[in-house]
Amino acid sequence: MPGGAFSAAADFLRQVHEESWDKIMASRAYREFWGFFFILPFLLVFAAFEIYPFLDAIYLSLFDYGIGRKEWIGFGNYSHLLGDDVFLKSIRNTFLLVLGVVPLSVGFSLAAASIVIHKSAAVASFFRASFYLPIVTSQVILSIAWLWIYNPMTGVANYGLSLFGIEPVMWLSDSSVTLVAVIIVVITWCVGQPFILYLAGLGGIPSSYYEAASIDGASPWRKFWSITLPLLKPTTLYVVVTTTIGAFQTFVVIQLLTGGGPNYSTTTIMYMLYETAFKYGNLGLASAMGVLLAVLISIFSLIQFKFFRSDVEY
Amino acid sequence: MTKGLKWAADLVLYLCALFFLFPIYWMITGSFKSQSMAVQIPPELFPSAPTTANYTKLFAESEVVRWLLNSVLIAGGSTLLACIVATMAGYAFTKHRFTGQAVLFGLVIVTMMIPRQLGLVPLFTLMKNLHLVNNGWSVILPVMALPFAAFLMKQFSQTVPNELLEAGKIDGCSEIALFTKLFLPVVKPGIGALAIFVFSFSWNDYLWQLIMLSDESKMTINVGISTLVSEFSANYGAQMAAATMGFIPIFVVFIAFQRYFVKGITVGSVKG
Amino acid sequence: MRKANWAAGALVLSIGFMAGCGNNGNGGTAEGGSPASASASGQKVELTWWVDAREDLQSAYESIKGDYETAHPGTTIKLVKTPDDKIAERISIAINTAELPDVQQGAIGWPLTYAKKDLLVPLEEAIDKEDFEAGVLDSLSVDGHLYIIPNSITAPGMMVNLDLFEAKGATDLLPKNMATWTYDQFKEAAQAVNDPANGIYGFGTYAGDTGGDQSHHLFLWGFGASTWSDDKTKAVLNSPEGVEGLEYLTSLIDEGLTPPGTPGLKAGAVINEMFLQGKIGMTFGSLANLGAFDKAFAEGSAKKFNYDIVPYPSKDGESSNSLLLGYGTWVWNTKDEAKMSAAKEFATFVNSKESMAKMAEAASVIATRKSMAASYAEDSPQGKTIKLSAYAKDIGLSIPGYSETRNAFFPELQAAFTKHKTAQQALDDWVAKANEIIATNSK
Repeated sequence: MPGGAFSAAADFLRQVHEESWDKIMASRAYREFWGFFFILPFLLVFAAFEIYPFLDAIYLSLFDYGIGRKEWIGFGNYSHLLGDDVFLKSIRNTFLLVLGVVPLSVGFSLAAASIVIHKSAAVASFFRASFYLPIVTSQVILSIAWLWIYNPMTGVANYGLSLFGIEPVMWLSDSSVTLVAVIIVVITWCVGQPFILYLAGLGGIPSSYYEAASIDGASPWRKFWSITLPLLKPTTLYVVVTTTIGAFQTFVVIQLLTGGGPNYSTTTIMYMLYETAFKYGNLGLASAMGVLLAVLISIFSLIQFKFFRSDVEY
Repeated sequence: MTKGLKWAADLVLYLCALFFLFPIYWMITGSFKSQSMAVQIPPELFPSAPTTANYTKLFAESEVVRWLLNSVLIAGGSTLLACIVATMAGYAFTKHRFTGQAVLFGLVIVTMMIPRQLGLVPLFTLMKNLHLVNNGWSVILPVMALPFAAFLMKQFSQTVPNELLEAGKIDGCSEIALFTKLFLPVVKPGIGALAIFVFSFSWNDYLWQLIMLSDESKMTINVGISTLVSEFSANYGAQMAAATMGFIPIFVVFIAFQRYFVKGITVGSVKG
Repeated sequence: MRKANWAAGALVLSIGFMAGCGNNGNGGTAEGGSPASASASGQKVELTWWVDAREDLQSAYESIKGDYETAHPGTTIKLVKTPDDKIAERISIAINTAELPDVQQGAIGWPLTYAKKDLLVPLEEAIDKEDFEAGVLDSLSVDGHLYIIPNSITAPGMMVNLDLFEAKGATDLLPKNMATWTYDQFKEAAQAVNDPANGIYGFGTYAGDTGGDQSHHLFLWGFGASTWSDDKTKAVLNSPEGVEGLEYLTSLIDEGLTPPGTPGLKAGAVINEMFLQGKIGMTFGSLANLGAFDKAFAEGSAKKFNYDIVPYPSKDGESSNSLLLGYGTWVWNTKDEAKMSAAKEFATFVNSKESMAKMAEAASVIATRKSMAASYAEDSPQGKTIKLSAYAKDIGLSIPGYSETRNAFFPELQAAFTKHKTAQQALDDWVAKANEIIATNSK
């Protein structure tokens, strides 16, 4: 019958058509094109504004590059930095800052989360908001507030101390105290994130684990050490690494509160980088500082990864 | 744990929470104190004679409103563009195959560890050559390139089931439609979390904005406020008013989107 | 690994190329700051004019701008008020991004360090030199070329809170009629009003940042020291006289004659908070500060008190020291010849008799033109300032890297004040650093 042949022919054509269509769909070029299409915007900005600057910084660090001059000096900037007292001091200060901020922030967050996890949702909300609010408030704004709080004569910090009969502390003028003053301020914006993460992490531990341990007669401390901490390892790793990286990059509070002093006691690598690049226009030297800073952070992060030895999947 | 110890721990914790909140409280109440009241000892916990003079001075002597506007535009623009770019990237990484995929993602991970400040100087020269100094774009573009954004969206994109897209393909959806009609709705929570992250990041991107935006009319709120610290040097009340003005908008955003903030943090970190 | 990677690589390279092109050789000024380019006469020119942020001068600036635009149709002046805050960075960044203004009105301490780098336009042809003090013009010149036209120069001295001295019956301890005095007399005066129990201190000094560091140089000069060698090529402050001066200054702090926390205090806080609120007997300051005090008294943000300004003490009491502070106009070398000559014309106009008269309406300003000096009464703050300027020595504005040397100075002071270093060590270290800075910036 003609109709039957017709439909058979149509069927045959459709089959052929679909096969080639499938072929096209499955072809490498087609997939590549669309993959490329979606990744292109990111690729462009990423290459231009992340990759290129990082590579160029390494390149520039090998030049004596300032206002009106650009000469190749190889490792000249680096040898200068390693012989510069102030830079070495800034490395020391940066380490002190990180070592002061990270353990205290992470430790406190864990302790706080361990207590708050047993409270009601409303209480947890209150604490979450309290600890996170300083992060939402920019560091600039908080630094301005702390500048007033730390004022030796009119600030509320010394007034508070005087109520306990303690002599006023020269928070920002005494080189033995100023770094501590800075650490305190930095901690206020380093607790929020770990706290929320620990809260979430703790919430994810099934209570059956604790119950089983209770049956075995484990003390609360034992439970904490053997159950809680190991299960929180991935969280701890993440929190420690990110807080460390953040602490290394502290800048605003130093610029507004101490100007790097007194006597360079709060000058960090980051602060020196800014001054060298944008106050003195010595871009080559500043790039070298940036490279050293990046190297330090990477080493620190690697050590932390090894230490926590997590097999966290990314 | 004994009841007493528990009670003590609770008390300490509440005191700590108050300690964290105190600077903000002090700042807000301080903004309503006149210059002489602000330096009074003992300091008043709550201003007995509140005045709005500091705010009047702030609005008269600085471009606070313009700065806020600049911050909103820049943070908003950055957020919008970063979300678009990162979502597309997340889609590409997880639902597509393209050459160099693994290398590019490896680079994303590596650059997340490297501080942005390393690239500060070259970025500075780059913006000069692109003639973007004192231009909002100089601040927006680097934020769009944040590796963390792509990373976050990749994580979220992995949760979209492949079958969903395959079904769409069978139904004859175009590639674009697959993305907009099927993929986007599922990753919306991820986009929300990313949006909050980028907005906060851009709002608080002090250092780079400080360097790029030195024209008073182009400054963002945080940069502008920091210039007032020395200008209002002895007048703490005025400084607090400036700080409070910078605080209010982001605080409002935080309150409105608190859930997303929390979600953004938790999901971005670790899986389970 | 092929196509997409090559594309990505090419992308990175081409962007790098694009950015790299601008890096060759000069770190600085290529094109001018504003888009409009034209010849000096007749055609449209837009000049960017950065002015300082002093409130009491803004209306004068506006008026000068208006007058010039009326007299030169076709020229528009873009007036940009720049905060003093982080001005060093702002200028440095402007140089590196070729965003320099054509003309700038600002503190004389800012630009001279760039003179040797050919970033400033010589201006000796742009003014009628006879109407200016030769000494003043000299301090604003480098290698024989004048780079800043001064329009309000003050000379600082020691500001005194007369009420505090009267309360202690000690006004006789202060020099009368701008007489010179010795350090011992000065110390006696400080001790007379020193009252820590009531939060009052005899002498306000500070080392928190670069602000007011001129006061320390003045203090040491009184012992016979000099900061810079005569040919302005080296720092020489670590002489025995300098060390004696610094040790004396440190002893004042040790004896409790200065406010607590001196090493970390900033000049602004000491002058505008403590002195203004009547907590300090004497401190470094100038006419500009006195003007600001009057304003604060009027606004009610501080209780009024009677102040005076006297010369800085010296070891022998026969002389005094001061320096030049103030504001002036300069023209940046933006490599756009046409704009630069228009800018020079404008700079001349800003410093004409009429324009200066407008600026001098503000109380904090003394007109620098000799022909205008006679208008001030002898015992007015302005008259006293003119007397002080007779003692002015060069603080080293034209030293290459001057602002960098300032940044190296206050940390050494902090070390000396906190006894982390001896006065000799601190000064030696600063001199070494300063000479290094001079060397780097002279290349």
